[in-house]
Amino acid sequence: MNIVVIIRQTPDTEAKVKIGSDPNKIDPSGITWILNPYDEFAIEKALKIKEIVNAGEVILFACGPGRTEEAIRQGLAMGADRAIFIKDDSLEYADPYTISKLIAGELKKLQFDLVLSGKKLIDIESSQIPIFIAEELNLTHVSFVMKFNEIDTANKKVVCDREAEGSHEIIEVQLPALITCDRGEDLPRYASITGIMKAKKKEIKEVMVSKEEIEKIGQRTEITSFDLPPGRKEAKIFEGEIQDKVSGLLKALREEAKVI
Amino acid sequence: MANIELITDKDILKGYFSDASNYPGHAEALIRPKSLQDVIEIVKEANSKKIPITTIGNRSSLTGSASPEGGWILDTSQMAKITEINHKEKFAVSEPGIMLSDFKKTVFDEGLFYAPDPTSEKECFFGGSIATNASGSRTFKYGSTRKYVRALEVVLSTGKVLNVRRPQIEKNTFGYLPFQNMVDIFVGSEGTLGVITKAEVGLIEKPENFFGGMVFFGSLNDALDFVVAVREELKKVTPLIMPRAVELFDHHGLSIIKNDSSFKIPESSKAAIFFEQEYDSNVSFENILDQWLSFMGKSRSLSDDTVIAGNIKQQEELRRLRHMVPSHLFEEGARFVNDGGGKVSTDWSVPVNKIHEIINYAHNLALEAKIEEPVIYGHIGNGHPHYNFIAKNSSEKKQILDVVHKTCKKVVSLGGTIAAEHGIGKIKKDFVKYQYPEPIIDAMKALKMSLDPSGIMAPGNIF
Repeated sequence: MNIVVIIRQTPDTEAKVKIGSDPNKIDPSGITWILNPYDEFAIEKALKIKEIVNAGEVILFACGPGRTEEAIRQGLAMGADRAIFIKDDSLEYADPYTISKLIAGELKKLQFDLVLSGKKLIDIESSQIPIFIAEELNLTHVSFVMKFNEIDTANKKVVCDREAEGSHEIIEVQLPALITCDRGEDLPRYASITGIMKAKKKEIKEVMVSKEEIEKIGQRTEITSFDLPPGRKEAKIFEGEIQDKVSGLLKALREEAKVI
Repeated sequence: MANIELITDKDILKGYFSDASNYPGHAEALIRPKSLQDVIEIVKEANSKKIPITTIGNRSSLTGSASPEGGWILDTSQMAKITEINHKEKFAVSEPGIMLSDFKKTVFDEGLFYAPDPTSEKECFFGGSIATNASGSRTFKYGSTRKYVRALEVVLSTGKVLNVRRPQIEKNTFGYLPFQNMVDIFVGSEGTLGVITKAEVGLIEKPENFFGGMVFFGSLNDALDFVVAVREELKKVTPLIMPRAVELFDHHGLSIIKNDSSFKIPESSKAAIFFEQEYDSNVSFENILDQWLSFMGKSRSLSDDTVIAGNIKQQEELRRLRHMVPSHLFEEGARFVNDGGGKVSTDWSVPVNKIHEIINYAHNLALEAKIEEPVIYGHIGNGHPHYNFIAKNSSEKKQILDVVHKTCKKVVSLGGTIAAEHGIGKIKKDFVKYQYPEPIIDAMKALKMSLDPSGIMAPGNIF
């Protein structure tokens, strides 16, 4: 079974995002870039499936600026077999539609049974790319899958468990299909030291795209500007004796916050 | 004392009678000073009435040093301001009551690094870490808290404020050595000499990058050989590896973390070494790993199974797992406190080249005494493994303490110490006699009496 995992690189969750001098860009200084955590869950699920069926390849698929290679190497060190990388620094702020068209275009050239990806990107909170790709390739898709209950290679189907609001949906899907992954029970494995060294030698096939190709797709959305969320109001501290503090607090809750 | 509240509510007070050691204490009042002036007033009042004062941080002490023996508890939690971060000269000045991890994060966000990293850094105060000369896993590279304390503001029991500063001079022949550097008298003094109200500590440049790792071994002995080899490697002019932390998990420790770790612990593994290594951006991560692989190739490690924590999340997980061992044992021990048992932990350390000898000695003692095997974990790179025994009742505790006493005597004979980082507090006083001759202990007592003539400061600690 050949499994493609679509991955992206995002700023670390702890990164303090600052808006750049250009208001529709962020200031990259001081940002640690990581493999999008939900994509990491997808890689883990792909590796688990490969271990179960004991056949096929796990191929990482990335589309983005040059720095994305670091995230690809991390996935390869976890155990993925090879990677395909649509590499172009101008894709830093490309919209989800453009990215998905580019990836779908390359995926058409591959033989695969299953496409996995994270359920969302943690930076722009977007879940669009994998769904666009499924649409573009006319693939069945299931989103927010926690785990795979069954992998049936003979009948080319998988049974997956997706969390819906307050319940679990068990869905049987005929392959090929595209599935976006939630965390589930399997935490991403650590790379072993030998895994990291082997990853250095694994193939990353770089695909170049021309400016014209990107422009021809025609972006559907554009980031016009970023704004930081408004700062929290300063806390009000009541001074004095305990009685004064309590009556001050009650007065403020009643008259200012109007909650009692 | 007009504006300072003495809290005597029994329900509030009760919560302050013990620290993380579970050593039972008692007190008459709790006071929370907000300023240096408050501390001076409190101390003067207590001194005039001969009321004992136990200064406390966040009470993470494992030796009972924050469990009061009567009198007043001086809680430093309301004095928590960082008053200066100096980028040019790389130092910070802070009051004692800030959580150590908050202090470290504040300076880190300013691009600087405060190196001491006691395992309890998220549970202990900055002031407490100085009063106990705290250390942690990165002490392997950076040394303990003492090295970073540049100056202190201390209120003595008379109310006099002493400002002491580490001397910058290179030569000085005047005075006995401990007195030449007055800062060092107070660092690690466990509240017995005065109340630390402000400290200036040295900072360093933030390390550019680091990664963590776990190396597994088929036996504890193989892991110890590896540690000795690391120390030997570091003596070379250009060592292959330069870890900043070298920590041990024995097979019990590995069992504790097994179900909580997101990496696979090899079945054949009987011990593991957790390490961290820093590196600059101009060096390739893979090159450093290559050097680790070559180094591990010379040891009996299960090198192919070595896991690497290359991202922040995994690095934090490794540290969390390291912290999980003592936390688990603390909870385990607490189950038996009412039956006279509980956790018995050691804090001895020996020179690294004596580590095999002492571990074999302690192992044989435990076998002879037929007590349950301890969990061995911690700062093995500094020759400082923690032995944690769980006594189910008072008779087991007695047997265990007997083994610990014998081990401590041996530790001292090998050139080690009975208390490498937790201090003496009230629980380890019986061990003091093994380490220093009586006249030296008397000299320490005399120093205390000259700085604290009424003996009101942290009575019961150390002596």
